Amino acid sequence: MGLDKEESPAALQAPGPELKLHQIELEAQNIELLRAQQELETQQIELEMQNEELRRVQHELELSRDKFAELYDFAPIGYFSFDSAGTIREVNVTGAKLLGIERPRLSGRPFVGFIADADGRESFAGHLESVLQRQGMQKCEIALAGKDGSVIQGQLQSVVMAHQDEEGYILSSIVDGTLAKELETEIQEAREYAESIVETVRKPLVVLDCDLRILTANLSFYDTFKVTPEETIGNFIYDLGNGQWDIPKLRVLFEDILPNETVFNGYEVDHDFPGVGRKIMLLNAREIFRKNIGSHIILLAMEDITPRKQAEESLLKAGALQSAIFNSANFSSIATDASGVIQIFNVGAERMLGYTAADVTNRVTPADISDPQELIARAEELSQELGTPITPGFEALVFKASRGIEDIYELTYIRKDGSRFPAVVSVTALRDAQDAIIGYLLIGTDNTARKQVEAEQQQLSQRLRDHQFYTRSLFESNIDAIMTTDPAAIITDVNKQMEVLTGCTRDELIGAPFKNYFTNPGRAESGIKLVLREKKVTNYELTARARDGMETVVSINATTFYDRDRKLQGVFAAARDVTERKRLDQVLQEKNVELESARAAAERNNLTKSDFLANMSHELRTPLNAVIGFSEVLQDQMFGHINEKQQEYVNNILTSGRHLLSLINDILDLSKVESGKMELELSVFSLRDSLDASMMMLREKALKGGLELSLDLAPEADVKIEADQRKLKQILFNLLSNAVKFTAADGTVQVTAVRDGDFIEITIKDSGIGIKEEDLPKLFHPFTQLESVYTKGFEGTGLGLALTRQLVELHFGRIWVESEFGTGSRFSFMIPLKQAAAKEPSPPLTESVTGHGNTVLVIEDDPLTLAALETALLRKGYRALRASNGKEGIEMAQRDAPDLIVLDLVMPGMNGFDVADRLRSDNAAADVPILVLTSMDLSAADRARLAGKVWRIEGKGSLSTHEFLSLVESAVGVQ
Amino acid sequence: MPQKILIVEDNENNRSLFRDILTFHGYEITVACDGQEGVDIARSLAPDLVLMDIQMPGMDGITAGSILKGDPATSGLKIVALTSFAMRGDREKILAAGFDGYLSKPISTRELPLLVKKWLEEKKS
Repeated sequence: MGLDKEESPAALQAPGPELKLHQIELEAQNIELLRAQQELETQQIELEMQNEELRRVQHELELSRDKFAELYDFAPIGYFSFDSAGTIREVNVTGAKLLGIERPRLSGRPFVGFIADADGRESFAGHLESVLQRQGMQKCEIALAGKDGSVIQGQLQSVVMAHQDEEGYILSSIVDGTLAKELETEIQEAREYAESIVETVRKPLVVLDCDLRILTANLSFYDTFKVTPEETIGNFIYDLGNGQWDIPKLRVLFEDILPNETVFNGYEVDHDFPGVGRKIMLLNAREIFRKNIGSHIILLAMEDITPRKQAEESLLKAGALQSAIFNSANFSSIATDASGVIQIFNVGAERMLGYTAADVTNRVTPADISDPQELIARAEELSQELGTPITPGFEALVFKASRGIEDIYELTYIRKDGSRFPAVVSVTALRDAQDAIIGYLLIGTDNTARKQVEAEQQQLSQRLRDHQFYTRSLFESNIDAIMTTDPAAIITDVNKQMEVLTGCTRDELIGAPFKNYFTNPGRAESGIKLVLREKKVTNYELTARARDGMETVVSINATTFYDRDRKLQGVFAAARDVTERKRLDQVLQEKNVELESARAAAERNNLTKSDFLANMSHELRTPLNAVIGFSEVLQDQMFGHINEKQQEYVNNILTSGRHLLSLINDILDLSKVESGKMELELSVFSLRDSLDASMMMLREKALKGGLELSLDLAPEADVKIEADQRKLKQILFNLLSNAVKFTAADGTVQVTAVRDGDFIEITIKDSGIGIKEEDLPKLFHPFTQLESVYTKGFEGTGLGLALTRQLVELHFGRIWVESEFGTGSRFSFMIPLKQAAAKEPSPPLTESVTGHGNTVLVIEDDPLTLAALETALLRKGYRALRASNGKEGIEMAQRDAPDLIVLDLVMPGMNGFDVADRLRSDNAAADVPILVLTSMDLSAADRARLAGKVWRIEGKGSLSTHEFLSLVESAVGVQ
Repeated sequence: MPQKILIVEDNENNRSLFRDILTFHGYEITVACDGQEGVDIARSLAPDLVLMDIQMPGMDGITAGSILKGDPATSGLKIVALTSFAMRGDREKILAAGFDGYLSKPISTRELPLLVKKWLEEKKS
């Protein structure tokens, strides 16, 4: 930088042109100098580099000289140097060895001395001469004699070596021809052998270099892995086949295991090759150091064990299966040798046949423990089938199997205890690798159960046929025309009568619509719909029209029918010819009309008569009262004394008047009863009081006649009863007055009253004159003419017992008499404790109320039944709930806590069985008793299904309303 | 002064019989032959007891009784029906009309004076 400062002022002085040119010249000279200096430096560097090169070359020369010396000494070639006379100057190690003499002792010795024969010596002389003359490489075959006497065939190659500073000499090399030839052969053979091994080895083999590039591979490798040599050789193994050899386990082998172990056997690799499939390989690897290459190679042998592995796996499975079958107690497995002698007899066979394996093994054939008759039959059958004679022994058992025909048949083994064992046997021939039969395997299963089932089935089908025959007979023998239809009203079956009715054949009828055979098809169709809806229809009238136009009025009874699963099958209908009945009905109706009018007239007459009697009796009584009244006034002598005769007459008037009055009264009462005008005036009163009062009225009269009048009232009869008190007194009075009237002095009249359930029975027993047996039936009829015998001296109207009976019956009771003429009579009557209880049917107003507000739930889909049950329940004072299906019923049962559930079984949707199940499993309604009302005929299974769940099962048809209500009452009482 | 009894009875025999018996027992008896006559006499006479037959021609006993019991002037009279209950519903009609009692025919001549005596004593108390 300082230089720049010094030069700047000069430049600023603006020098002249000459100076400027000089300056340029100087500048150029400087540059020239600088370049020369640089050249010098470069030359120096080059010289140094040459020196270095020289040193390196020198070193290399030294090295190569050393190498050469080494090579010279240890090469497998014998080197000799001779002088022109053929004297040995120097020899290398191999040469010395070749001659079998130590190296130092060879110098100075003539080489000829080591030549085995004269020809050789001559050749060697010629050889030396030609070497020396021609100054080039000369060859000569020669045989040398080894120290040990061996002859070594060799080729001598010689050249004259001449150095500027040295005396010239002949250098010869000799190769031991024998050795070389042998070696060469050996090497060649070894190579071929190795190559053939590599090639012919059946297992894939690859050789890799140390970089894992493939050097070579064998045919098996290419075949197995479907690759070509072009794709393989020189490629990195992991790249082979688009990387499908990049197998993790293989990397482990190459990268981790081999560097440490060099030899590795039995390394298993399982890999799925895209184009080849799954291969399981067993790898053997060797890492080999190759001296001539100076690095490692890897020999990788593979064994494709895929099929073996798979076979092993399936073998394992098959083995397990086989052993399972063989050890199974449910199969009899018997293996035999080719002649049939049992070799294996498994546990199943032991169990089924009763023999132990020791009993049969090596002793008998399966034919010996089979039914001989069957064997004979089988042999004959097979002989015919296969057209060759077959003996009825073991051959018969296995003949088919021996021909490779699958053979499964039924065979009866004979057990050790002699019993028969039916089996199904499968026979297989056992073959060796050459397919020759070495034995047979007979696997049998127990056929007993199947045989039994077959037998039962046969029995069942026989019964079914019997039953079908029976059903058919019923069907055909019916006097009615019978048919069945499916739910769509298409006829499915008919009987003979139906053919007659329609004039069509069975074949024509079956499959045709039901309605086609009636004058009013619409009504016929409605009828079927009605059956389907109501499940049952009775007396449905239709007019059938036959093919020839003949019309028949029929009354149809029909029901739906179901299969075992309660699935609707159709309608069963019976048509009865009612033409004749219709005619009779018509006549009957006419007669009824006549009768009805006659009855009405009679009734009118009767009413008239009753009214007439009522009026007349009043008209009669009024004057009669006057007669009696005046007579009493006279008898009492109220207005003055009358004489005895007059008194007697007045008494007669009075007696007759009173008799007439009671006659009139009885007639009046009877007519009232008959015209329905007599009504009970009910009240509740003590039975004892009424009995006492009635007896009181007659006590005086009894005392007068010297009679003993007694009452025997049982404690349980000493109750209040509901009746018409006045009329009960009238009954008692009538019976008592008769008894008192007809019993002589010192006799007895005894009244007893006992209770019989809801009834009171009262008996009036006398020791009077009694009644003749033939008169007993007439006793309770009005105006019974018994006077002639009985009433001589007795007063009576003859109407008393008739009226008494009417009064008893008015109380819903009955009266009867037992008597023995001459010893006495016994009149008894029975009336209910309460009037309502005995009334059947009871009019609603006076119905006794026993329901007490208890709730009854009726689950029933038929509206008519539902309504009828509800009416009956309400009348009895129950609260009635109605549900028209199962689901609704269950909900109501849970919600309303009824005291009783009345349940139908056949309902649409949820049926009664299910409802019962649900109700029993439901906490809220689990304890409510269930009364099942059904029109179904229940099977034992049905009943078993309901057992323990329902309280009672009753048939709808067989239960009256009264019985139903009693059941309800007892069910509510059940709780 | 004997007590006054009015007997309303269409049947002449019964009328005489009752009259004679009750006269014998010391009562002052007045008789009427039908309902209307009975009503008229009862109003003027104001008897202690009226024995009224039910079935009579013209105005019947029930009508006559109703008139008397419905009239404040005569409603205090003691009226007893004489009836044979020949017609259905007679009893109800009698009680509905306000009769003080009834006597079923046939009437015992021996019981009549006792019953009359009882009714008159009831009236007093």
